[in-house]
Amino acid sequence: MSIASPPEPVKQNKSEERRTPVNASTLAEHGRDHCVIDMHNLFVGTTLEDELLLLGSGEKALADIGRECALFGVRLEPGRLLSSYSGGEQAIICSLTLMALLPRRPLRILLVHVLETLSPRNRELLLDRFATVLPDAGLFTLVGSEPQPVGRHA
Amino acid sequence: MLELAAGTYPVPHAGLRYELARDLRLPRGSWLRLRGENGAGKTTFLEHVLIPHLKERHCLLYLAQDMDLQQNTMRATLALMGLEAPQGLADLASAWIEAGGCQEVVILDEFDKYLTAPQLDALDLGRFGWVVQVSHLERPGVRPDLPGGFELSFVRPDAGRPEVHLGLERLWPA
Amino acid sequence: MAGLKVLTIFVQLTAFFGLFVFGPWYGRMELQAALLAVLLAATAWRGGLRSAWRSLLFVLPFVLSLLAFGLAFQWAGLMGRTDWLHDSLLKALVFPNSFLIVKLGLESITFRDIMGLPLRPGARRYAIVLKAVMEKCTPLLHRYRFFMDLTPHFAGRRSGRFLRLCGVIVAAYISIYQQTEKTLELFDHRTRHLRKEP
Repeated sequence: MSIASPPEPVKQNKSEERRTPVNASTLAEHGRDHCVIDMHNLFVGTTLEDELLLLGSGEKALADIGRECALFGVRLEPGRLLSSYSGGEQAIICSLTLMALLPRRPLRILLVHVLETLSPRNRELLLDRFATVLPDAGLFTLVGSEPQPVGRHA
Repeated sequence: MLELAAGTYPVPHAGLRYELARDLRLPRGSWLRLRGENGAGKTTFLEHVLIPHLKERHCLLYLAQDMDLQQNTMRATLALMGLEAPQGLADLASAWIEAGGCQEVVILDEFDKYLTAPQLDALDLGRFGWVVQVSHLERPGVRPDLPGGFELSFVRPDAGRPEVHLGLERLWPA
Repeated sequence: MAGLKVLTIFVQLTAFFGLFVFGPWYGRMELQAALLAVLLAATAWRGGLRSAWRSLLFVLPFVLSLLAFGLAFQWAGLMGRTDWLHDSLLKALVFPNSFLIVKLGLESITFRDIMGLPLRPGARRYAIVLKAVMEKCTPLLHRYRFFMDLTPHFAGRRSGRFLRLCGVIVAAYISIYQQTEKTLELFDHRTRHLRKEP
């Protein structure tokens, strides 16, 4: 983990453009070109074990994700319902899960309301982990209805 | 006055125990921001300590973190009142707030992440007696529409233990 | 093994309906009551006392309305019958039994079981999504009740409690459709992006 300077706060969006409504399907709009991590649609299953099973992975990935989560102060418990973790913790778990499973090739990852849900420390740490684990991936967030590169990881 | 006495507030089913060292006493017109690391227990504190305590004494409106779920009850509520439920979230929240007829306490759990600054301003939170807000976004400067600003920090020294220490700081006036 | 387990569950469900709902044991009040106790104990063992309590709360409105109608018809002597109360008491046991046993049966089928079944990919996809939606939607009622109990919008109205209940039901119906759509989209999206080859 390398955080050289205090984390930059995320500012309130001063744009006049409307944010993407919660009920618009970001997957339908952007899912073809981006791997979407949307705070309101993070997991298929209800436990991490089930999620990994459904995504075709197993015990080793679970151990790796557990170790990564610990960096963020998130303690994974076997069989615990994902919904019982806080919103920010769920975002971290989902992001680290996909980091562990996504193929290592150039791809676009769209974070929807994820960075704003994280504390400044965890936000910087997550961006750092993306840069380390998936250096070829581009990170994007939605501004208005368009994906824009995240400054640090574009 | 919005008050919560100093003491220990256990939430057994969440495995947390909140320790408030000083009385929380917020005069009318106060803005209280809740700040802390992810998983520190801010939402649990809101839903299982603060809200149960406040709702006995004050009318309150709560905009929860799981807005993808809550918007369904917002739409249902407006429909049952014979009112139109707007499509966009900012307009929906605004209509729901207006229809509630409550101007005492409004609680927003990371709701600001869904809105632009103009949309947040349009909610006119200054008309409420007290505004309680969980946010990870940049701490705003002094808000002239709210006479007093405070920050309640959540610190969990050991993730394996239930204690969460709550510390109150006055942001404004200085 | 998964196939055998799922088959066993469906055979048990069929046997229950064949015996206790449409069969010879339907009218046996003591058997129905005993079965209810067993199913509640099984629910509590599986998901804790809170889960059993929530299951009871879910069926309670239906049970109470059955009893209310039974009482009313008994008092009115509707159609010259005098067994309305007995009949509604029986239904008040059979309904929660049916709900609990189907719930227990379907909850017993895990994602691992579904993955192990000899299903075509399309059928497996729907089975996964159905299971996921079932698991996600069950706790939503409690969440919607929390939101509606807090809302000040119906304060002071005589029908406030009824309106809040209506709000919960409407939100729950919207949710089932939403969760199904979201989960299907997400499952397809994730499996597409996690394929090793581009």
